[in-house]
Amino acid sequence: MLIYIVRRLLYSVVVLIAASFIIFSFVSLSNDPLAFLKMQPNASEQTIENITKRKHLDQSIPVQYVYWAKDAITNQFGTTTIGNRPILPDLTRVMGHTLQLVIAAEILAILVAVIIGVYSALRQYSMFDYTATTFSFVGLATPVFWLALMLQVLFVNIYLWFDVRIFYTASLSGVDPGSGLHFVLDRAQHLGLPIIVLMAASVATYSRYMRASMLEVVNSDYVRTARAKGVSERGVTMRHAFRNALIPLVTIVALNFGGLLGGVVVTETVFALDGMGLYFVTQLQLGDPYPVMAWLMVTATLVIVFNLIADIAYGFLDPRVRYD
Amino acid sequence: MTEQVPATSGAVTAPAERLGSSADLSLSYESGLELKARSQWAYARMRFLRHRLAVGSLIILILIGFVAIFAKQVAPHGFNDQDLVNIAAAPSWDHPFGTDLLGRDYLSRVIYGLRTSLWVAFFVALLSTAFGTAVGAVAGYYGGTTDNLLMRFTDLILTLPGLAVLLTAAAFLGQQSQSIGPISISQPVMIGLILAFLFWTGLARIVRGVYLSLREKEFVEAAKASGAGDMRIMVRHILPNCVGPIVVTMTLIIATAILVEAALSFLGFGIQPPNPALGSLIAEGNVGGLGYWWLVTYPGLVIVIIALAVNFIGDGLRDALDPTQRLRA
Amino acid sequence: MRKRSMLVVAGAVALVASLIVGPAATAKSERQAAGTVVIGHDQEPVTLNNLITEGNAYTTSLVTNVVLAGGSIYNQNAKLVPYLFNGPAKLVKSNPLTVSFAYKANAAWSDGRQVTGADFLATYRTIMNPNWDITSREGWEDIASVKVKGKNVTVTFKKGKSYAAWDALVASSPYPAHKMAGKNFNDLYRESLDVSSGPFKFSSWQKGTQLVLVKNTAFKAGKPAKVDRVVFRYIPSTPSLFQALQSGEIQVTEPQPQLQIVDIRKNSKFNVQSGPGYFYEHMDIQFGPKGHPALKQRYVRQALITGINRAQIRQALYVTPGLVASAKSLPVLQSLIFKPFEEPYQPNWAKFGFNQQKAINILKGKGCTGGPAKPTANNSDIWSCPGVGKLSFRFTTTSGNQLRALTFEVAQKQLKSVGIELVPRFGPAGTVFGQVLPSGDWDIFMFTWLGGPTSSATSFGLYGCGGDQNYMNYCNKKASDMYKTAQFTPDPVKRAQILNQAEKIMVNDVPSVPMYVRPGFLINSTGVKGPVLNPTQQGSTWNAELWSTSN
Repeated sequence: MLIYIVRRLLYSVVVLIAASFIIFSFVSLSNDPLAFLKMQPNASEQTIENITKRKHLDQSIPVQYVYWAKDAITNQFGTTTIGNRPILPDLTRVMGHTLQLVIAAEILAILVAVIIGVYSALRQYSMFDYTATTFSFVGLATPVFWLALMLQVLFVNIYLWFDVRIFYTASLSGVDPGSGLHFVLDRAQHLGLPIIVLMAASVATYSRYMRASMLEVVNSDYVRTARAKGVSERGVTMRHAFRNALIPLVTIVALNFGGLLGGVVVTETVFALDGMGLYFVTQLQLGDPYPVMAWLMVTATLVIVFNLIADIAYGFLDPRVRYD
Repeated sequence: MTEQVPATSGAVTAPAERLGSSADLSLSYESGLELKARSQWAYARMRFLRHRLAVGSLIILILIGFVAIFAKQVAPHGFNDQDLVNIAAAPSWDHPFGTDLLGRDYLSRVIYGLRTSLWVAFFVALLSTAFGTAVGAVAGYYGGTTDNLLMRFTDLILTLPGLAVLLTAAAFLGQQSQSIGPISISQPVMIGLILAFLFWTGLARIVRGVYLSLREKEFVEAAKASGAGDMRIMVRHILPNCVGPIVVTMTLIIATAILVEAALSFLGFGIQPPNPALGSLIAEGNVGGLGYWWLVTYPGLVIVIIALAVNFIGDGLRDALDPTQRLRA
Repeated sequence: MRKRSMLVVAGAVALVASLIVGPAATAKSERQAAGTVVIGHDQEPVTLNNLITEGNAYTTSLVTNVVLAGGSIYNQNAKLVPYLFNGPAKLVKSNPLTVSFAYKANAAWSDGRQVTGADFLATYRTIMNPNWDITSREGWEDIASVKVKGKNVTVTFKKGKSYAAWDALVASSPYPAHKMAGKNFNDLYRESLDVSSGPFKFSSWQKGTQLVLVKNTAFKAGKPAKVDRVVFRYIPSTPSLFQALQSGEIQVTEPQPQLQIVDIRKNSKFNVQSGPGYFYEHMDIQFGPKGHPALKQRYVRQALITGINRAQIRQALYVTPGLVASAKSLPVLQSLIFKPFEEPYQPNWAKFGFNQQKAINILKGKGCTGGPAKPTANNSDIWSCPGVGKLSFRFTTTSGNQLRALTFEVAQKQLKSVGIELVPRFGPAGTVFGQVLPSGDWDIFMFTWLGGPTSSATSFGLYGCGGDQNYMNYCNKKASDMYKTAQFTPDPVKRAQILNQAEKIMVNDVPSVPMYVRPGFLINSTGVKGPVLNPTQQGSTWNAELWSTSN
């Protein structure tokens, strides 16, 4: 087991280095880092020259890559082309906000999905089961941004019609976020809609997996044996079936991280949330490659970490998995 | 349904292995392969037709496909027929979906947008299916270092955060038509190529698995002994066994491609006007609020309907072709 | 199982209930008690240093203009009025150009120091320091000497370099000499402003969300601010900005022209102002070697401008939807030098009226073939002209700008019906402005010049031979010389005469198609009194100290 983890870890490092080279050469080759600056009507030759020197843009791509990698490791990804701003502080700030959003959405999604999945598996082919299945299909077929727009309009109009504020439709916190409970509630009201939007797709996916794996477990031999031994129906469900049915879900949740990021990009853009997604889109629109590359590196690292977690967790949870 | 059936030309093809739930290979040789294979497809067709939602969806999708293909004949107006007096009019009998900011009939624009989006989705699906199958087949059939290299590359692509890489590529490369030497690639094709580049990985893994498990089987050995080349074995002998998973994955890719292309276009990095696409119609029409609800609602609903239909068909196909693969989403 | 899910449901209900009654009530009342105005904007500043390249943005000016006050500021009529100056700057001598001005006796920094000529001198030196990434040194580099005597300053320009827009130049905000000394100016005011000479001072900047200014109680040079706080909230998408406005999350905003303004105008809770600005949309034509050869023929350019119905485009995009009150309030632009609301404006381009048959006749008359005999809406025949090929032009503009996309689509349709084809070449702003525009590898390019009340003086840069922003490589020696003369003619009346003469010469060459001045919009909820639309770069906060909140 330990050897497996170490080997997996080393492999992840290699993948990360390869990914960093791919990201760097891809972004550098496809975009002129100075395009944005040249677009400023009065950016002087001197300014452009300074930046060319600072970023070693006159060198070949592999040389630039080495400088960039050095900058990334020793100097926290360095600074932006535009404004020479340190990248990492901005990135950490938005990451914190996105984590709040993602963690809240995922926990709620898992809760709801497990309840729906288990219930529809236990009552297979019931009205509830059909409804839940239909909704999960619809959830998977709905574009995230469209759902976000619809909810935004809906809640603005709830405010206009009833003069009741349930959720805010933009931004991360109020003008006076306050502290303590007030802060938490304010944040919850601002994150409410983005959480619902992110949950929709996750609940749809997870509940289908939960239902399927629950069905598989319920019909398996050992559960039948348990039942035959006279374990109560509730005991069978909770102790035997439910626990084992959760195992595949763990993997799915961890592997879903990359997909979740896509939803985050769109959701944060619609709701003007100061998170990773909006940061990324803004930098892309500006056309500044350095924060874009830093962002891609950070997320690639996160995806790799989550894949690793998925693998290891699966090993811990499912004794049938062998390592070789 | 019949278009799903590959021509089962006599001789040695053995598409039975994964299709039948308890197909015994030696038995299928003895009992006459052609007959057996056909009955497998008949089973599959039967199973699919029993899936009422899938059949309904297929009919809807075919209808939508017809509308898209014959957009010129079906659409009541041209997609750029401007009526600069009748701007942003609410839905009415003349314009069931209302009109847009230049007084263009929105139903017609949605139909043409549908055409672009569907075209991109099928293009992406075909391209990535072909590529994914090829990579998976080569990796699985040859194994060893080839397999290792190809699969590590696949893993690497899977590591990249999908939509973000797409956005970067689309923002930096896909905004204008590009020309590589004498070949000029139009902007929607560019977006399609970028999408396809990230969508083949899942299928490559699945196909590799099938090839890996089948390359040692007797019917492959037999083909080898009778002097068939690697290419022939990969294409004629093993490939038919992957048709199930390939078709199912392809439908999933279509659904994903439609949603992702719409998101790209919505964020402004996808298909650029004046080419109408469903996502960019929503972005263009998102002038806010209930005042112009039809501009956002209709193209969105169309996306939902297509994606839903494709997903149902995929579900039906999975039941029909690949009953053991229920859990792979 | 069932009991637990009941608990979850109960918890969720409790949470939602507390959300509704909780901060909903409190946040609102606090805002009113504090006398806060919340301004929504779609772009966040990169830095608060307005002089360096990346700080040269409208969104930065909105914040800095009320913190670092100007000697004079532009009012709603685009007239310079003294602010920290005790009166308008005076022209002492015209050759060499010498001007003098003085700061008010009570003009002071918020830390107690006086605002003096030393601050102006330090600002001048900072701008001329080659180490700093200053956006533009235009005008400043023509200064020969700055003499300071307490609050009084005399500026002398170099001989023959009588910078025409001197009054706006000397009126720019002085930066605090005592804070800049010995600092790296490129890094100064990146995150905050530590001192103020205006009605507000910097309080906090929660990156990605909002920036807060509070009342500067030490401000004596003008009226004290009526509200305690001005909060800038950054909401990057225009539709979301509108949603936030309607749901009361922001109170003042200057949105991009968008249909929803029409809805909001009908709503009695909001006050919508609109008016022309200094941004003008136009289509430039490439004269350089990489442009289409046909466009180097004057008759083709004439056919082009005659075939575009500029009035209809303006009508369709702004008037019919109800974005502007009437066609009169947004006239078709007939000058590239002056705006319709400026006094010296003359409709120099009016000679090119829209006439599709005439456009066809021009081309037919020059021996072009393959085009339509009569303009029709569904025409697909495109002209080919002798020696210069098919009239199919690349049309470059920024992607993601809805109004430009719509303008293109209307113009494309209009030209198609007379047999001229436009092929879209849209790209992101960074690429098309950074690479395509300067490269000259385009045929027709639609974009906006961001001007100001003094920009006419520097027309040479845009339309003179070898002008540094003359990306279309247009050159008419005679007009060019006149633009050059105008740049160093301080007398505004005389200058306007020269400029109009030069443009009349230029118009005959049809180097560009002027479209319209892009109107500005200012929306405020009726709970805020006082915002007035300002057409200049001074921005909507120009009179923020007069704003008040009610109800």
